[in-house]
Amino acid sequence: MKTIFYKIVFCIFFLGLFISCDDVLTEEPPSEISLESITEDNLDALLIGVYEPLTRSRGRIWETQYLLALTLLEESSRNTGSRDLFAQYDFITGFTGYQAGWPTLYNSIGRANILLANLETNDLISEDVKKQAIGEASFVRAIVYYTLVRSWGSVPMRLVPVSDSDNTGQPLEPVENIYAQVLSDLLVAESNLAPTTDNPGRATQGAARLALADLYLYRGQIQEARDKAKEVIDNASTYGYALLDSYSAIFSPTAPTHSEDVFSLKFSQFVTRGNFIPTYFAPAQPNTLARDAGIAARGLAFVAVDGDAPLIANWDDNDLRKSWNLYNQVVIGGETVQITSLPPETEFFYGKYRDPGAVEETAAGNDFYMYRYADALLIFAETENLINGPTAEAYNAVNQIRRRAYGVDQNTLDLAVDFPAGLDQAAFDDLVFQERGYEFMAEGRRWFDLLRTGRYETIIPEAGKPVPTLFTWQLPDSELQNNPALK
Amino acid sequence: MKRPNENGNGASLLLKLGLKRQLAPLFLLVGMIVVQANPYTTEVAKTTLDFGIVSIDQLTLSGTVYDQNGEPLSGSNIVEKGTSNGTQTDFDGNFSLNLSNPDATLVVSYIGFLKKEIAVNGQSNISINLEEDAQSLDEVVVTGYGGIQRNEFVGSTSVVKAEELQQQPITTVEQGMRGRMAGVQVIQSSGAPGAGVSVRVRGLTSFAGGNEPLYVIDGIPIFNDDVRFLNGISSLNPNDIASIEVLKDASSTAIYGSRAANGVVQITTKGGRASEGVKVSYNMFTALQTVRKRFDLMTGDQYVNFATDFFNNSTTLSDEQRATSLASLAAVGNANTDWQDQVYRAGFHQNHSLSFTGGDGDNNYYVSANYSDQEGVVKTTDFERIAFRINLQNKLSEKFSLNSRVNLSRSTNNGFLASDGTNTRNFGKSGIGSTLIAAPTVPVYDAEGGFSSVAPYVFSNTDQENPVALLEALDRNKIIRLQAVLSLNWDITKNLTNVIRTSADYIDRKSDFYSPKELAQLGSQVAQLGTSRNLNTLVEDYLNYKNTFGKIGVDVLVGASGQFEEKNSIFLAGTGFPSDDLQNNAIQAAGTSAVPETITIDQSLVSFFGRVQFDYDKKYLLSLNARRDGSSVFADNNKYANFAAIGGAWRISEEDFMKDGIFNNLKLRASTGSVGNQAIQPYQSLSLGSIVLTGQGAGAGISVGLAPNLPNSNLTWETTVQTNVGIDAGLYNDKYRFSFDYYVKTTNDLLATVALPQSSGFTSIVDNVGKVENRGIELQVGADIVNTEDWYFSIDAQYSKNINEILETKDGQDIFSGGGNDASRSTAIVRKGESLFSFFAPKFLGLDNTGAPIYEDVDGNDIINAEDNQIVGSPLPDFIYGLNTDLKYKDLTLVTNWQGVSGASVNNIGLFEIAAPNPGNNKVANLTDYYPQPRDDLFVTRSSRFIEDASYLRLANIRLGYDFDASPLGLDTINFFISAQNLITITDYSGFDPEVNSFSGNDLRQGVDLAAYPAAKTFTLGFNVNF
Repeated sequence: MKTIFYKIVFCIFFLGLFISCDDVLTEEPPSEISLESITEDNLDALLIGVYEPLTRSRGRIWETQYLLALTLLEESSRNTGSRDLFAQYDFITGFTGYQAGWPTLYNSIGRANILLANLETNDLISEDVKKQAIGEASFVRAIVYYTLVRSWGSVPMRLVPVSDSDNTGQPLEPVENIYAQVLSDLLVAESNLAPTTDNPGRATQGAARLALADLYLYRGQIQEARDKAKEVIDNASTYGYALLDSYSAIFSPTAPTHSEDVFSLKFSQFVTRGNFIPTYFAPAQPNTLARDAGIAARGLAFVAVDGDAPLIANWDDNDLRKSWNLYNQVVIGGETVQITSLPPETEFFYGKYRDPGAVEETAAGNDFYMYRYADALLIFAETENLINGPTAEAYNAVNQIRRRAYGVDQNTLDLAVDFPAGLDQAAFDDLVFQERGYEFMAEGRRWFDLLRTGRYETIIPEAGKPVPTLFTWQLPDSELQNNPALK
Repeated sequence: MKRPNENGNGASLLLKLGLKRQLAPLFLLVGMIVVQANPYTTEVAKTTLDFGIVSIDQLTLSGTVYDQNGEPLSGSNIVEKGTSNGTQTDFDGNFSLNLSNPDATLVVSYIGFLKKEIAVNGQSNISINLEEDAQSLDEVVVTGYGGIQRNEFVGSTSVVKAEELQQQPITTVEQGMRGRMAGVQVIQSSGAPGAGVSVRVRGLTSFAGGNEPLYVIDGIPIFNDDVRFLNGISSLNPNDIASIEVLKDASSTAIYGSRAANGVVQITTKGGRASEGVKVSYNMFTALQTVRKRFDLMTGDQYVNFATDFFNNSTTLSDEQRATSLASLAAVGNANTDWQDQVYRAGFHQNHSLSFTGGDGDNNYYVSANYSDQEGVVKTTDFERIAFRINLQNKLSEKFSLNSRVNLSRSTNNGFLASDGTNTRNFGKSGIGSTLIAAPTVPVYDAEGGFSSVAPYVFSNTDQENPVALLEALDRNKIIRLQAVLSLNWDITKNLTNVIRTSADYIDRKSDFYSPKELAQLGSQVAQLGTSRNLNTLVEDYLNYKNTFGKIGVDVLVGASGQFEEKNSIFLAGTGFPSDDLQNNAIQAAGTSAVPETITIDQSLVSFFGRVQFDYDKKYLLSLNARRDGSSVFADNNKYANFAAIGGAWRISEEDFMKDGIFNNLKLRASTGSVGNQAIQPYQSLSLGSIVLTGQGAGAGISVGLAPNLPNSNLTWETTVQTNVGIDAGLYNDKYRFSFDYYVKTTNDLLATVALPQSSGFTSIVDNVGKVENRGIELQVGADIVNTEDWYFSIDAQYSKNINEILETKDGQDIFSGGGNDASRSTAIVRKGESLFSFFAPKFLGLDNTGAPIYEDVDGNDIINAEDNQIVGSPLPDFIYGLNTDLKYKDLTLVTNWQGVSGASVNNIGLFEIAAPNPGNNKVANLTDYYPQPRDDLFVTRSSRFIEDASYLRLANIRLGYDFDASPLGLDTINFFISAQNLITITDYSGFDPEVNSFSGNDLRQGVDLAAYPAAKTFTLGFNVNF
């Protein structure tokens, strides 16, 4: 710095008018890193950068607005105002906050594209390292496009990075093409990724396989879904997967990871690096209740639960998942306090994500599980039944989930808890569907389950809400305005 | 200097004048500085001592000093030649002096008059007439790197002099520019004390490059890029200002090349004045401020009725929802709280300025201190400034002289959590926003003595705070700024001088935030501390050659300059403290800390510049200006750019055929040339990875990632070509004054932060995107209508009209500005053929027969979204105007300053929030004017409905002053005044104030009122004393 200053002095007083002072004008940014080339030194940081947009805090992304939107769409969810309109499947005048997640989703895609394009020709990085990096970037790109296509339908699909301000327009891509791309990226990820990782929150082969199973299931490719789910279950020990004994332990705000974590978005108890969702879900009144009850730093009451919806009304009180997922009273200083500030027509708040240690709304440590081992078991149970009927294998898979939910040993037969024997295929399918509703409540799966099975036509009106007529959401204004290919 | 023992110590006299005791140390300190910094103080002391001894046995001479019109001149200096014996004339021009010798010669001097020597010749009473010094009456225009006689200047400028600044009790310099300068619009961001002010010279030319003019303070160029809060100019004491000169056309600004596209504001501080002994000036005023206008909000009773009707009228609610809502409404009861009453107050403002000046002509000094403390009309808000200045001119030898100027100031601003349109500080958690929407039914405090929840219902919008509780949050900005400039002037020959100048501008900015425990929604026990240090150093050298060859005058300037800027900032935050008392002073005590952030940014500018001026017989004037700038912020192949301008003028009044006409001045001017804009963030052309942090990969920890940017390797300079023609006229010795300018300014390669489709993976890029034109006229007229012995009345008026038009955009594409979360469905647009930043929103067509709002469905798909946006107004005014009158009767003076803006619109987002048809929070009392039947099935969006005409005319200042006869007190002048600011405002705008710009400094979002701090009406009382 000093030298530059003296150089300026020198230039001006002695040679100023005659020589070039160009090096004074050369930029060397002190607080950023030059990316003229990608090497093994900066590759890992760039990979982390691919995941980063998905874990930003403060109402911008999956864990808040997007997960809130999906939770509002569960048949038992209600709220007030525009969020209630959205919860009743009015995607036109209702809440549009989920659009805040759009740029972060494409941020991840953009960074993945930059890496993938570079790695194709990069000869500075060894093949092994490159292979893993291609796997990770492909995985993230796949799950993000999967998210986009399921929620918005036809969206712009960009697979090569933009290089300058020209030609940034990208037309809407037919839905089928996007699914095909998701599939191809996941297959690349599956074959490139290592079975496990030392870094919680990073993609693995197991994650890619389970994501494939989920994709096949959603696309109605039942046989492929079953086979992939089975591969995950069969390789559980290789991947280190197992159900936890405690359901609530899955959602611990402090555990870095655990054996049920297949792929999750990681949050930390750091200001602005944590998860916002506990605050979104928590009661707002009285002002300090959420904090005093150890649920969240504050509450916004953006979604609540209609206890009259059949799924909720028929829920067995002995199912430990019920008391974890739903609450209408809290304990403050040893005293039980009934929550009175519930939105009209609701009886509970969702309690899945709680962090008593979150000092600030942006600092909850709860992770968001995109895929956990329970998915493998329930996908397998569902698809196995659809292909082969309720086999013992199918029963075994779903009963592990049931037993854990009731706090009994997962591997010991328990007639009080297990699915009743002798179910027919349709009854088994209905029960697995209900089981998914309980197991994955407020985890962003219910709306898509209702859609893919067609059950939205019956289950939603039974819960007192209108049958949806719209299935995808509005594109954000910013995309409509700034994308020349959409005009 | 009749009472040397008193005058020798200004500070003690001031104390007698009743200064607040707490200020005493300040003035004593200044007194010490005078003694320390100024070798002439001892000189003065000697003078007074001698004076005492001499006064034993001499004859006494008395007399009067008049000007050429026979008017007595108070304050002229009379010195017995060859001695230090002297005095000054009193208010009536009279003096009396004890002479050591009856045949002494008197030297009589007065500023602006020719010095005169008169032999006493034994007279005991004498009458002296002084002649005006024609040369000094021709004011000097402060141009870049020098000055020039105004009537020889070919460019276009507007000027405000110290006397005009004095007419108004102002705390920041920009306030003194309001309504006084043609072509210059001054926009306050809000009514908050210390609020940011943006200045527009001849329209808007850019958006990423900034639209603020370049400030040049005593020769140091300062780019005032952050005008949202305390800015670079707010550190100056207006009393220190000798003149503010705004250079507007290319010929006057091209010497500043790449930074001059938005005009150049030359601020010159007062230099030392040669005088006998020390001249002391003390100015003070106190003011009382009240909220000019409140929102008429629902009372608790009105709110309960409205909410009851709302639920009963609603069609989409189930019976259960309706019953629950009404039960919740009933359960809360009604405390009828007026939250505006709870938050507003009468604000008290005091301002003290003290200056000392003196010197012997070769070595002069000006030293000043200023203390200003302005309480806002909202409790806990204020602006405080302490400023010191030392200006010294020293003649080192026949050839060398030194000019040094130092200003040190501390400005502190306590705000009220202005909304920034993000989730962190959204409407309900902003100070004024929460005041407007808090439920009027709850008391301030609940039964336990804590703050009540102001969102008490099951249907309340939850994201809001109790406004009285928000008053306890800490929201402070503090700036310590040291500006120092040292110039060494070397008179190489009679015609050739060289100036070496170095300067440093050091800004230490600190922003403090703390939200106490009870503020759960704002963030319980959240502490933030941001500091930034910015050092801007300048080194320059220029040679100036002046000569006349017969009738041809030549003035040539060449120079080089280098400016280097280094910015460091640190941001720390933490949450959860053992005690609220720590505020943000011990972040190490936080339960959880955010990851600290530090940023360092460097940039540099290397320049070569020159000017050639010719005149022929002072009639035909020609000026050529050029600058070559090299800036670090551009791509490697675009580092350098050249700017140049040519200007000429014809002084018709100097022609023989005009000599005896009515015109004392008649000048035609014309100029054309190019200037630039480079005020973009550095490093935009490099391929970089920004550091991003995520919880990813480490459970409860943090890992570090890199986010590649989208570099623009073709980034180049924005260039503005401006052509100006003008005429200046003065009739009957400037009794009538007239000035007219017409200009066309075309900006090419417009620098813009362009929003990209988010599907590109990037949000925006800085790019050269188009071409914009500003063309307009400026008219300045003035007249001394009455000018008699007892009466004087003058009027000066300005009118400026600017038409802004986008001539081209890249590929003909529209460019949209981004918005915060308050901006959904309404943004600003840049579209070919329109003006910059037009409001772009759905068009409100009216209400249907059910009382539901109708918006124009442009694409006819029954969905109102961004596709239905259209241009529905412009934040830019059609024209601006000002009118200043000055009426004097004997010792009474009445000044008025009127100021107006016509045709600008404001997007009243604050009103949108409190005029929505739902009981989620409090609403305006006349809600049914907006929605005759508020209910829940109405589709409500931001639209043209809340984009209002914000034209206004206001009596910005009225001041009645009285000049006392100061001579009996041994003082030079005393003036008392009372004044009022914003006494009258004529406007249809429904918000607090039509002069508002919540996103001041963010050029993409002009004319937004996001519940800005209310404007004040002010009553002021003050006095000035000089001795």
